[in-house]
Amino acid sequence: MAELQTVWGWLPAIYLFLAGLSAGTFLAVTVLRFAVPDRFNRTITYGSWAALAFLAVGLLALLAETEKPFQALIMFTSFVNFSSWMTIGAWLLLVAFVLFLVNAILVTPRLVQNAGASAKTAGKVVAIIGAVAAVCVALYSAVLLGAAPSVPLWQTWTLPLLFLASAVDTGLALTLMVLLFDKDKTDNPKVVALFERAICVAVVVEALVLAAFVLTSLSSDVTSAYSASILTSGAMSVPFWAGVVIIGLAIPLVISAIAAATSGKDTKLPVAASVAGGACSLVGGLALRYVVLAAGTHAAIIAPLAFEAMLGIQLML
Amino acid sequence: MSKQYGFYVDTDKCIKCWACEIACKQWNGIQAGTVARRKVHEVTTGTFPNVTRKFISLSCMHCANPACASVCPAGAITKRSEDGIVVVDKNKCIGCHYCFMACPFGVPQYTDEGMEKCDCCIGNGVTPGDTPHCVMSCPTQALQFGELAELGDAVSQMTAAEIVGTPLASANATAGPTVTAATVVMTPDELAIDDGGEKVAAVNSNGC
Amino acid sequence: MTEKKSLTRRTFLQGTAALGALAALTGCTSSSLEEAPVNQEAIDGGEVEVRHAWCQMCGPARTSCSTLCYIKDGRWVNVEGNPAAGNNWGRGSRSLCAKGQAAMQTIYDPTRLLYPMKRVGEKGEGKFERCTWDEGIQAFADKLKELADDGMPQALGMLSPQFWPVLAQMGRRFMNVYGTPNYMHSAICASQRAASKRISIGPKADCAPKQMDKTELLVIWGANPENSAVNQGQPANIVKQKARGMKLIDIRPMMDQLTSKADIWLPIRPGTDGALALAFLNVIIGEDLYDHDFAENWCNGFDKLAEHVKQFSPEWAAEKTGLDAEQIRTVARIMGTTKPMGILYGNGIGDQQNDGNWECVSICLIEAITGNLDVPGGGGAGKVAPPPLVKTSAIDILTDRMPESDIDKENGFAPGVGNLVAPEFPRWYQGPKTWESGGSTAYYKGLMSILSEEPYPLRAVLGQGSNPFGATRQPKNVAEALKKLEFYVVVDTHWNSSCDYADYVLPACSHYEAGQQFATKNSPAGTFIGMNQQIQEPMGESRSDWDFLLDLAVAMGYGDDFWGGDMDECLREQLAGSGITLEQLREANGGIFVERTDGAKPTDPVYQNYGELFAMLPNGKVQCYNEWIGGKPNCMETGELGFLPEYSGPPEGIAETPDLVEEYPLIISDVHAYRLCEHSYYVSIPYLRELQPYPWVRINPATAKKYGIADGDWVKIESPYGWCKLQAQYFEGISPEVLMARRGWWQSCEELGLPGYGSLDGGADTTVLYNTDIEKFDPFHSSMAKQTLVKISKTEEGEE
Ligand SMILES: Nc1nc2c(c(=O)[nH]1)N[C@H]1C(S)=C(S)[C@@H](COP(=O)(O)OP(=O)(O)OC[C@H]3O[C@@H](n4cnc5c(=O)[nH]c(N)nc54)[C@H](O)[C@@H]3O)O[C@H]1N2
Ligand SMILES: Nc1nc2c(c(=O)[nH]1)N[C@H]1C(S)=C(S)[C@@H](COP(=O)(O)OP(=O)(O)OC[C@H]3O[C@@H](n4cnc5c(=O)[nH]c(N)nc54)[C@H](O)[C@@H]3O)O[C@H]1N2
Ligand code: SF4
Ligand code: SF4
Ligand code: SF4
Ligand code: SF4
Ligand code: SF4
Ligand SMILES: [Mo]
Repeated sequence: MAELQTVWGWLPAIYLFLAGLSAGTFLAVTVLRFAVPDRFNRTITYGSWAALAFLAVGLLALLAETEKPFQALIMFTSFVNFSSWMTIGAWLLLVAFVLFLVNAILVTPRLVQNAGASAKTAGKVVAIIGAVAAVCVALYSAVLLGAAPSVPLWQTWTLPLLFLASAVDTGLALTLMVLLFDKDKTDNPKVVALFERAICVAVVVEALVLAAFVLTSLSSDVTSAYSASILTSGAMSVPFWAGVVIIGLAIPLVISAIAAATSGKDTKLPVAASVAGGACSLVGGLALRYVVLAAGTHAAIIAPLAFEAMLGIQLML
Repeated sequence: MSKQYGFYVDTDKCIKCWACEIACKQWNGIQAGTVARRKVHEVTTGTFPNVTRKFISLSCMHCANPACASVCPAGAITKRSEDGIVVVDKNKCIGCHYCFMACPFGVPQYTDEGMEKCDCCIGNGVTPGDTPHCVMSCPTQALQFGELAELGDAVSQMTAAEIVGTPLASANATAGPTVTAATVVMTPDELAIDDGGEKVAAVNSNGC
Repeated sequence: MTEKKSLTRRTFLQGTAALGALAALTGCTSSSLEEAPVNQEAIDGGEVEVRHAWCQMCGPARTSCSTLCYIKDGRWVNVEGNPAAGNNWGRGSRSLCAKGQAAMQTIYDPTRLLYPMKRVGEKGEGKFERCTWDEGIQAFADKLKELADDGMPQALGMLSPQFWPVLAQMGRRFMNVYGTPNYMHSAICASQRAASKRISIGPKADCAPKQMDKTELLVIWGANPENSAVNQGQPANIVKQKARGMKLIDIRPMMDQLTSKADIWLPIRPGTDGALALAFLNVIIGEDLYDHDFAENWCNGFDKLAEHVKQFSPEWAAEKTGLDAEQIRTVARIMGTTKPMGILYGNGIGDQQNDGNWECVSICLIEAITGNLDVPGGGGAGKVAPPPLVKTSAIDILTDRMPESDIDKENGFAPGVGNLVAPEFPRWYQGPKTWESGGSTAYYKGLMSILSEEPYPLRAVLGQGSNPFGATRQPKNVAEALKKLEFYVVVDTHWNSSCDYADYVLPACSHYEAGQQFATKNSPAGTFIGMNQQIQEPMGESRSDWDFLLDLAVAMGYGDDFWGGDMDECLREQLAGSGITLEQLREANGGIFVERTDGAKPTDPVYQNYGELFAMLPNGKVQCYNEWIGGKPNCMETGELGFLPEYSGPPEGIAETPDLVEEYPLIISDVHAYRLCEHSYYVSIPYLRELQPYPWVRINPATAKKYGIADGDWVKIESPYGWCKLQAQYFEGISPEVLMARRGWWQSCEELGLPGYGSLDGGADTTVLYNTDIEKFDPFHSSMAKQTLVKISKTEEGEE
C-alpha cells in the first residue's frame, strides 16, 4: 500500500505553486519591462498585479492549512523563531509582498500619472529588488521542504532548482498568455516569438532538472527511492506522468516550439493554441508541487530491517 | 545538561498488549479516533514458518537537540533545561504541521488545539520525574522511565559493550555514555537519512 | 563513514530490536508504593474523588484486578491499578491491561440498554415496546410458577457459560430453591480441561508450574496467557523467566505475542492437538525418556498405555498436524529430558475440540510420566501462602434444597442430576463428591432439547450476561430453538443479537453502578479486601444483576431465603466474622489492606505428595489406563467411554476428511480471549475498537494472493455449515493452510461511527462455520470443535 504524505495536503501544494508562479511572473514582466522599455504596459501592469495576487492567495492557502489560521496571521507572535525556515520564509514573503505591491502601484499608469524621472528610477530600483526577492521566494519554497530533515525525498539540491525552473516556466507561460492579448504585440511579433522560445528553453531545463531529481532520488536511500517510485510507478504515477510530464512539459514544449518556428509565417498557430499551452504549463506546475508533497514519505513510516540487524547482533554473542 | 529523563523499552518483554497506549490516552484525556502520544509498533520479518515479530512502544524521544523545536516557527516547542523534557506550548502553536516533517520519529500529531505529543505526563499532574502513566501501566515492566544515566546503569556493562558497533550505538557515541542507545534519547541534529536495507514485510500498529 | 551513520527511527528501531534481545534489565522497578498517587493535590482539595472497584473486564474466568477509579465533577474520568492490592506482578503494581485502562468507557457507552422492553411482534422480528421492571419480573415469575405447577421446574434453564458469581452463586441458589438443575455451562470453557485433569492426574495435581522461577521448560499449548491473563502476572512472569533462561515452546496455529518469544514454535493445524500429544507419548515412552520410578509406582496401567501409543508415531502425527515428523520427535525429546517442565494448556485445545478430553488427558500424562508432577518448577507444587488475615464466606447456594429424585438416589447422582436435560458430563460423574455445586447441562445440547423435545424441552430460559448467538455454535439453530421456546428472558447491558427472540429484555447495570460485590486478595505481605464502590448511579432504568435475581426470588415468594430481597443483608452475611463491616468497606476508598505482622512467609509444600494428590483416582494412581471413566456410559448415554486416549481430530480436517478438502481447502479456528474484548463484547468501547475497527481474519499472504485477496480486502468465508464476512489481514505468522479469526463483532461503536455485524450467516461471527453434529461432541465432557474446513473468496464489489 502506498504511504502518501498527507500531513501537508492540497493547500500547501497550492501555496508552493502560487508562490512560484508569482515569483516567475514577477521576473518575466520585469525582464520584459527592462528589455522592451515603454511597451507592453498592459502586460506589465496586469502581470505585476497578478504576481501580487498569487502571492496573497498562496499565503492564504498556507494559513488555511494551519490548525489556527487567525493566530498564524499575527506574524509578530507566530513567526518568531528565526532558526526555522518557515519563519524566514514568512517574513521573506511579507517583504516580497510589500515590494510587489509597491511595484504594482508604480507600473500602473492610472495610479501614477506623469511620474518624474526620479520616481521612475525609484520604480526601477523597486523592480530590481523585487526581482531578487522573487528569486528568493521561488527558491525558498523548496528550501522550506528541504529543511524538514525527515522527509528524504526533499533532501536534495535538485529540488530548489526544480522549483525555480518551474517558477520561471509558469511565470513565462502566464506572462505570455497576458501578452497575447496585449495590442502592443502586433507591433512587436519578435517579442512574442522570443517568449515562445524562452518557454521552450525553460521547459527543457525544467525537464532536465526533473529528470535529475527523480533519478538521483531513485538511486538514493530507501525512503527517497520509495518516494520516487511513488512518482514513477506508484500511487502518484498518473498525476506525475500525465500531469507533470505530458501536460506540464511535453504539450507546452510542442506548442511553443511550433509557435516559435511558425512565427512571422503565414501558417501561424492560432492564439488559442498558445493560450492552451500556457494553461497546460500552469496545470503542470501545480501538479508538480502536489506530487512532490504527496510522495514526500516520512522516513519513520518505512519499516526498518530489524531482523537483519538482530541477526548481526546474535552472531556476535 | 543537568538531568535527562528518558524511556527504555525492552523488546524482549514487550508483548504488545497496548496498555501503555490506552493508559496514555485516558490520562491525557485524548479522545478515541484522534491522536496517540504513544504507539506500540510491530516489525514482522521473514516468511512462514521462520517469522520474527518485535514490538516496540514509542512516544516522543525528548531528544537532546529536538529537530521539532528548531523548525517550529512559533517557538512553541521547548526543551526544559531542568529535566530535558520536551514540551509544547499549545497556546503558541499555530498548527503548521512543520514539526512532523522534522521529527525523525514522526511523533508530532495534531488536533485543532495544536501539536500533540508526550510530555512525560507533566501536563496531567505527574510530577516531573515521577513514573508516567504509560510506564505504570505496563504489565510486563517492559517499559521503563527514569534518568538516563540510571536507565543506562540498569543495562549490564556486558550488554553495553555488545551494542557498540550497532548503528544505534555509534550514532549516540557523541551523545554521552554508550548506554544512551538503550534509551530513547538521542541527538537528531546529527540526523541525516539513513540508507540501507529493504522494506520489511510489515510494520503495523494494530495487527494481531 | 558508516560509523557516523545518521539516526532515523529506522536505525533506531533496529537498535532497540537488537538491544531487546540482549537486555538484561534487573531491579529497575518502575513504580513503588511510596510514590504519591497522581494528582494528590486535586484529591486533597476534593476536586477529584477516588473510589475502589474490581475490574471484571476479562470475565469471571480469571480473577479480577483491584482498581482505583478517579471521579471528577461526578464523572468517572480515569482508572489505574491499585498498588495496595497486589495485582499483576505484585504489591506496588499499578498496571492494568488495555481493557482495564478503558473501563470508564464501558459505563458511558451510548449503545447501552437503558429500559426494560417487552416483545410485541413475532419472535425475531425485533418489535418491542417499553415496559416496567415489575412487569418483566412478574411475567417471568408467573411463567416459573406455571412450570412448577406442571411439575416441571427443570424446564427452566439458565445460560451460564462461565462461572460468573452472579449466576454461580445467587443464580444457583435460586435454582436450588426453585428446583431446576439446568445450569447451562458452555461446555467449551475451562471446566472441560479441569474435568480431564481430574480423571487422569487428579483434581489437586497440575501441569502448569506454580513456581515458574524454577522451571526450565515451559510449553504453552493452545493457551493464550498474553491475551487472557494479561494482568494476572502470567505474561510478566513468563518474560521474566525467559530472561532468566527458561526455554519456551509454543504450540499454537498462529504466532501470537508470546509465541514470538518462544525458542520453538509448532504451528499446528487447528484441531489436531490430540495427534501431537499422542505422538509425544509415543516418543517419550518409545525412546525410554519417561520416569521409571514414577511409572512403576504411581501409574495405573502404564504398560497398556505404552503398548497403545506405539501406533501413534511422529510420522502418523505429522500427517494429521501438518508438522514435520522430525520436529515432533525433537520437541518430544526436549520435553522428555528437560526438567522441570510445566505445560500451560488452555481453552484453544481441550475445551474446544471434539476429542478434547483425550487430548487433555494425554497432556496430563506427558507431564506425569516425565516425572514433572509436583516438583518445584514442574507442574503444580506451589508454595503454601500464609493463611488470609480476613476471612469472608461465599454465598451459600443451598445445595440441600435441590430435591433428590429416586433416580438420583439409586444411581448416586448429585441431587437433580437425574433431571438434567442434557448432562454436560456423564450423570454418573456428576456425583455428590465431584459435583458439590450441583448439576450441569451443556449449553448447546440443552438448547437443542427445545427442538428435539428429548428427553423433555426446556420451556423457559434466562439469558443473563450470555449471548447464545455467540457463546455456542450455529446461531441459526439457536434461533430456531428460541423461536419455539415458550419464554426467553434476557438481562443484559446491551441489545445482544439474541434479544430479538426474547419475551422480555431487561437492562442490567454494570458492577460499577451497583456496588454489591467485594473480594479479597491474599499475599505474603497481608490480605487485601476491597469493595466495588458505586461509581455512578445506574444509567437509565438499568438495575443490578444481583437485584434482578433477588427481586425475582421475592416475586416467587422466596423472600425468606433471599434476605427479603436486600443485597446489603446478603453482603453482611458474607462479611460476618471477618472483622470488617459493610459500612467500613463502603467507606474505604482504596480498599483495606491488613498487613501481616507475624512474619509468616510462604512455605515449601511437601513435594511429590502423590499419595494425597492421586487419592481420588482409582487405585490411587495416575490413570494411564483410565479406570475412572473407561467402560462407563458417555454423557449422551449412547455408548461407553474408552480406557485409553484416542484421536478423532476435527470434524472436518485436512487429513480427516480429504473429500471435503477439494472444495474447502483451508482450516479455520478462532481466538476469543482477546485483549481488546471480553468474549464478544467491549467491541463498542472506543479506545478498544480504535485499535481493531474491523472483524479480522489472519491469512498468510501467499494464500491470499492465490485467491486474489489483497491485504484489507473483505472476504467471504464459507464452510459446509455457514458463511461469514471478515476483513483479510496479511500475516506471515500463520500457515498457508490456516485461517484465524477473532470471534464476536455484534456491537457497534457509536463514538467512532463503526457498525456492529450480524451473528447469523453473512455476519462476522465465526461461530456460524462450525459443525454441530451432537454425536461428534466429546463423549465425556461435551466439548465441540471450533475448527473446520473453509473456502475463501473476495467479496463481490459493494458487498462489504
Ligand atoms: N482478555 C480476555 N481475557 C479472558 C477472556 C476474554 O474474553 N478476554 N475470557 C476468559 C475465559 S471465559 C476463558 S475460558 C479464558 C481462556 O483463555 P485461554 O485458555 O488462554 O484460551 P483462548 O484465548 O481461548 O485460546 C488459546 C489459544 O488457542 C489458540 N487456538 C485456537 N485454536 C487452536 C487449536 O486448534 N489448537 C491449538 N493448539 N491452539 C488453538 C488461540 O489462537 C489462542 O491463542 O480466558 C479468560 N480471560
Ligand atoms: N467460536 C467461539 N465460541 C466461543 C468461544 C471461542 O473461543 N470461540 N469461547 C467460549 C467460552 S470459553 C466462553 S466462556 C463463552 C462465553 O460466552 P458468553 O459469556 O455468553 O459471552 P458473550 O457471547 O460475549 O455474551 C455475553 C453477554 O453478556 C453481556 N454483558 C456484559 N456485561 C454484563 C453485565 O454486567 N451484566 C449482564 N447481565 N450482562 C452483561 C454482553 O452484552 C453479552 O451480551 O463463549 C464460548 N464461545
Ligand atoms: S524531534 Fe520528535 S522525538 Fe525529538 S523531541 Fe521532537 S517530537 Fe520528540
Ligand atoms: S505545528 Fe505547532 S509546534 Fe509544530 S512546528 Fe507548527 S507551530 Fe510549532
Ligand atoms: S509519559 Fe505520559 S504523555 Fe508520555 S507517552 Fe507516557 S502516558 Fe503518554
Ligand atoms: S504496556 Fe508494556 S508490554 Fe504492553 S505494549 Fe506497552 S510496553 Fe509493551
Ligand atoms: S486483566 Fe485487565 S480486564 Fe482483566 S481484570 Fe485486570 S485490568 Fe481488568
Ligand atoms: Mo470461558
